[in-house]
Amino acid sequence: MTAGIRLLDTTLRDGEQAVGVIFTRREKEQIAALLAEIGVPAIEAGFPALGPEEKECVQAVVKADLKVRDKGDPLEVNAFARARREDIRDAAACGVQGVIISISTSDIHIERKFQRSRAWVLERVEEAADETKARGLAFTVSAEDASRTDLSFLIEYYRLAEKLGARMVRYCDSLGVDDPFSVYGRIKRIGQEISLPIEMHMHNDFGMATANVLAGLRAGASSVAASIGGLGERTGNSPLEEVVMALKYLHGLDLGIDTSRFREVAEYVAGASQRAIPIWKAIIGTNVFAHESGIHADGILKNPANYEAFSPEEVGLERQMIIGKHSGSKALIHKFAGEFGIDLDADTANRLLERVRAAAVELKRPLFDKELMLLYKQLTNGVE
Amino acid sequence: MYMQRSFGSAGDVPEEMLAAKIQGQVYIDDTTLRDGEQTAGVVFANEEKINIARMLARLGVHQIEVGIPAMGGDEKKAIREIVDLELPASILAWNRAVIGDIQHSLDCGVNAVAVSISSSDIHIKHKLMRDRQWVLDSVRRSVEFAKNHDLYVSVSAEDASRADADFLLEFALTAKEAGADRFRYCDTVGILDPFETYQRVKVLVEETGLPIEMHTHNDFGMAVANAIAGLKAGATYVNTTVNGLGERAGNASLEELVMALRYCEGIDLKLNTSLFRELSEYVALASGRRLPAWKPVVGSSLFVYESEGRASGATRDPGTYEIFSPDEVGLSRRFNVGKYSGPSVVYQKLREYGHHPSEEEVRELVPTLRSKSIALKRSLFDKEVVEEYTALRGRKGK
Repeated sequence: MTAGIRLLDTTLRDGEQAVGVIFTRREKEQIAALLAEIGVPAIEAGFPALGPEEKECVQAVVKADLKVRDKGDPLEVNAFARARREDIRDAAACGVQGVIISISTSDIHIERKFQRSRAWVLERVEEAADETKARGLAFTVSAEDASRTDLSFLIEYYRLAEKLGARMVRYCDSLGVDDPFSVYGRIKRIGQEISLPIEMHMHNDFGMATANVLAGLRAGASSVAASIGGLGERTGNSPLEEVVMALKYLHGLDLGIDTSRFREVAEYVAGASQRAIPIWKAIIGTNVFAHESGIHADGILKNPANYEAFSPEEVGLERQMIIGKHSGSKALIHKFAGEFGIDLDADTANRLLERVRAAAVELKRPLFDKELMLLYKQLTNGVE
Repeated sequence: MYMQRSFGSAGDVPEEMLAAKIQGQVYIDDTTLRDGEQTAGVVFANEEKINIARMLARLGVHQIEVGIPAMGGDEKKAIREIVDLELPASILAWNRAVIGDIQHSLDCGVNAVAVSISSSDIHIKHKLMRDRQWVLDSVRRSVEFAKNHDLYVSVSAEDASRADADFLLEFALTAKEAGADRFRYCDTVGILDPFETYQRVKVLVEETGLPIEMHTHNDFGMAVANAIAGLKAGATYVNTTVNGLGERAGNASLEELVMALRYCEGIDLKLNTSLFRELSEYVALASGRRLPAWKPVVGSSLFVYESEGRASGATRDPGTYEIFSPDEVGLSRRFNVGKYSGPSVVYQKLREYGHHPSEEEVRELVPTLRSKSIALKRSLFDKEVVEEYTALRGRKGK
């Protein structure tokens, strides 16, 4: 199954769809290049029907002729299209290899958004597939709001996709309402009814995007549409870095991605999207390997495996020992010996710790090295 | 068997697990003030601790984990002040499984304690540098001491997710014999997935009969999903934090868990959820960690409509793209014009300003506004949209 999981990055499409996020052409090229370099085999580069600027962006990414790291395979560049002939024509004009044909399949969307019928949805997909095939492009058929779609209609929709010659179907939890157990059941059932590969596209509205992706894979899905940092509509998508690391460390499946560049790629995307990476962001946040509390810091000093599932270098981060309100005497002793060459005896360390805690509470933050030294000097000089 | 750590040999998930529903009452034990504050770099002022405790009580959580009395000084003072407020919530203090720690808790007047010790061999050998028997003895001694002083006791098995299953059960049964009121299952390094969580918690629920509390971490982004999996397996308490504040990547976020229970699982905890945004903002400020605009449940951009796909649905009926309405969590709905916007947003925006553009005018405006947004590399201000419309009308001599 290892080799069987395909990763598709949608930072440039769903990611850019996040409110207020706009990538320039250069930024799109750069992000695509970074993704190819770290080993992501496929991307969704944009939504050409938006207009001439977006077409230029997608064309530029295609023209860059990017190769996936070491394998030298060409990066698979896809464009997003609604199930409309004109959207397909716009996508084809960009020279992409594949198209993601998307339309809502839930009754709530069909009735209240389109004010149409299920039959109309099927006709639209048929038309779009026809246009795509006429242009010799591969295509994925995507079910928007699949999680709120009647399962028998969803299967009918995917069967039609299979009949029309789609290479893959996409299951979108557009509003992030699935839980891992419900999505497992649905994907398992779909897998029994169709033979096409299934791609998971899950949103994070209730904080379960990554868990839902993994549940889908467990049930037999074989592709994931994720984005860097989880960038995407509202709360975003399943973060690519979480999916890759969870597969590697929780399930022993290595997708061959150069994870040591995750931080670097995420920083670039953060800059381009003007959305700083929260310091606590799973996998790539700078605080993920920062240890302050006495219990944790002591454990880390004895053996990092006590509190780390993987080492910071694996994702391009560094371990930090922070001295603050929750620090213990062992961390102080370690810090002074290792960084300042001063051996603290247990008594000095305990008395210093009291002063450190008081200062941290007063300042409402951890202490800088200079502040630590000052407190140490005051203590040893008998200053109260 | 299915528990193996690879999909290749995973096999089917049992039907019983897929069909499992959360039974009965779910209690929140919020630990923003303890695990939240333990986060590297975060320090709450005493006044902030008190305000957060008050807000949590107003929200309606069952129990508030207020801190670590053994740290002494200010920490103890803040805890005592919170106890003195007589909030309508149980007040719990965190302790190592050490009698001295529990004495500090007694000094503060709390009515409940967490008594915590590591349960995994990796921690026992490499951190505690002891053996399993020493751990069991510590549990027994400290729980008995706490119970003799009429405290409610949650025994916390640190690193339970990496503990040997048989030993963890022995640990829990020892705690029960010593009088523990509940058992806290800690996925300290955040390495579980929901399916494994379910299986492991199920065993503890069935074999110990103790109420089980989930304490999950978000290292792989699955803290909320794992907490819910534990509840499905029969756990009844969840240890949450506001904004998911906590060590490393944080804990299960209070607001995400509560809303996921309400809307993904059909369990309403009857909390005052309209306070969520206010509470999250306060904790964000006090912890010095800005709330991302995209934060699930409370992020400021969640109910902003910009892309045509969503906006065209939402202008007709918000239910097409909203699982709950913004006022339920203290947010509001807004329309924004940007690169991905189409006729629905533009029309909506102009109407907000008292204009009634024709379909043709909107069609003409859309590409102009998109280009403008791309050129500026941001969403447009309302004023800019109205200006473009006025200019268009001007060109047409209207």
